[in-house]
Amino acid sequence: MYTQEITRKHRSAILLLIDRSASMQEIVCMGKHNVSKAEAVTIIASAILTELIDRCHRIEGLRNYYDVAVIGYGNDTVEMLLGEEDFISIERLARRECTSHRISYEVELPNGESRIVEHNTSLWFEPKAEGNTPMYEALLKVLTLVERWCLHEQNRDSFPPIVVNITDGEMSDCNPSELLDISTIIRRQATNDGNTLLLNIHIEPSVKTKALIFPTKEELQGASAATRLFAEASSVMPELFNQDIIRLKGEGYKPPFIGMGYNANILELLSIINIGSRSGPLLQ
Amino acid sequence: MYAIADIVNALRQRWPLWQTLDDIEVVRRNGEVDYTVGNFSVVARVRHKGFDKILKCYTRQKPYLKEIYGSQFLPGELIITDVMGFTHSVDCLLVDYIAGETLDKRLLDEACNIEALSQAFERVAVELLAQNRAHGDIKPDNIIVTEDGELHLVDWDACFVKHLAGQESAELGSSAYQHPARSTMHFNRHIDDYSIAYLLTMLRAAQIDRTILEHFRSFYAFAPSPAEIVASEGGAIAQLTEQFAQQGMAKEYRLSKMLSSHTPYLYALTSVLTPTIAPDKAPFEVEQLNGYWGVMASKGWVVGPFYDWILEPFGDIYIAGIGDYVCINSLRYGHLHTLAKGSRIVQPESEGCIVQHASGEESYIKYSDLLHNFAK
Repeated sequence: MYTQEITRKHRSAILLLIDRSASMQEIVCMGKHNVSKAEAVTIIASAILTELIDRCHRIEGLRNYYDVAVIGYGNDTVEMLLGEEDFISIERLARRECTSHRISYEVELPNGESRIVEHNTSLWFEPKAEGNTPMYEALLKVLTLVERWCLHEQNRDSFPPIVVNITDGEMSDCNPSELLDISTIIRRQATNDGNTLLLNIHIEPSVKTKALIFPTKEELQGASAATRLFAEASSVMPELFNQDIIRLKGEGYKPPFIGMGYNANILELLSIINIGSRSGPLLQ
Repeated sequence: MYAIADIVNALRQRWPLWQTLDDIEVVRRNGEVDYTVGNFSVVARVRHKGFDKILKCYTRQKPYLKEIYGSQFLPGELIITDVMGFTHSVDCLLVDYIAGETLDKRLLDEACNIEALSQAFERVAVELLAQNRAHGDIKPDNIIVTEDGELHLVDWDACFVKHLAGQESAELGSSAYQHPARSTMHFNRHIDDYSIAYLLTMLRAAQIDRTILEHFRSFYAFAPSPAEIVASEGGAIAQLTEQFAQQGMAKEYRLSKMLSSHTPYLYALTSVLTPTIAPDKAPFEVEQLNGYWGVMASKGWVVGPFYDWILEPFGDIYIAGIGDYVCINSLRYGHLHTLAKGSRIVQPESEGCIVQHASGEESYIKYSDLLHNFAK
């Protein structure tokens, strides 16, 4: 299980689900500058999409190793943010127009000198933050996409889809029980190599609240109801990811790890998505 | 782990931030950094002190690189900035640039000379097997075909060198070219055995069966895969093995039989790939190695140890058996004729032989007729 290599014959699928409700206007610290949560998530999600394109870059051109999709939800709306109603291949994504996000940083070199460095990120969609949080509606959309992908003959033996849900608050269109039900159904969609992986990440700018990143069962003891809800809605991470998770959390932690983050700051969000989107040893 | 875009972004800067390198220029193509992406790395073309080089920037730390590459490995060489504005030092490797295209790409070309490529690969394999090191990740992607038609292995990150004896391997290579039982515990000079046997068998198979390359061009992998061959105990490759025997391709027959091995190590591989010498000077004697038979002269093998049995040569002609087939061969010209399945040699003589066919009928085959047909 979860051993299928990602090749041109056996592509993998990655789906980002992004909260675009009004609370995402809140300002957070993103490394060396402050931006809204919506901007931070857009930059990070776009960076991940760019990373996926880059991983496919070979001498002869792009290799189609991934199918990708981004779904935004907010203000009673669920929309596909990459211009198509289904997953799109890396080749198609690379051909899309994107805007450039440019920031200059002052970098201090080991010899004490300072240099101004420009950092460019391609933005594949625009940040938005308004209205309520129709997460259930968005998860229904996820289910449709993932089910169709898993059932496709070409994908039957592929590494199963990875879904990453990024939110900063509570859903406005369902109760916890309904959220768990739909999450369970999504996680049941499977290829011959395993079940769909669903990672839920709650972002919270406060430095006072300790974050839980890929928690173990022990870490979840005594956690809030909201945290436990997130954990129950998330997948247990397969063994393949354990080494990277331990590297992130520290040597004292032992698997199994839950695929979630709660009260994560932006740096932790980036780390979780990096690990979740990486099946590096499997990419051939 | 570092984002590829952050590394490319650093290389794109007018003055990239190096820890130790000087007199280095990043090569651009159409105004952009000339790079490709490899195994946990960004590979860019550079000019260093006037020489064309490859700079490999690792997206994560990998073990053993210092032991493998020595002074070519530059830890923490390139300073990059990530999307948060934090800086990181990225390990790099600076090696000679080899101009050419990957074997992967060459095989996609319908006009490729598969015979020449397979012979060139065999030369590389023989040379590698004679060394006390192994590449660890042999596959068409990691082989460059240069203008002169020779092949060169690149990307030695999974390499075994003698300084690493006793360690576990950090990488297992691409499963499409590895024995399914290869594990991190398998880490010595024999880790290329299976990949070499598999790739060489497939390249030779492509010479007699068009569907092999058609499949490769459709799916970017050969079929059957090593996993399928081992799981079926050779069943998945039985038809190909039979074809090799029918065509008198004894070396290829032996290679394909090895592919169902239960272990990644193929101890008979080196003897099967032993270079042969021209049959200039008699006497020639049949000899056995690892249970298989060939023909030796005083200075080496004239016919490699491929056969299940072999008769003493009659001058230039020798008769040998592989699988269910009997072959009549010339020491000088190679394979001349394969008897139909079920046939057997009743009486071999110096000028020809009496053959009994599966039907029970007998006929006489004259060696000179076979040589004449061959010359045509």
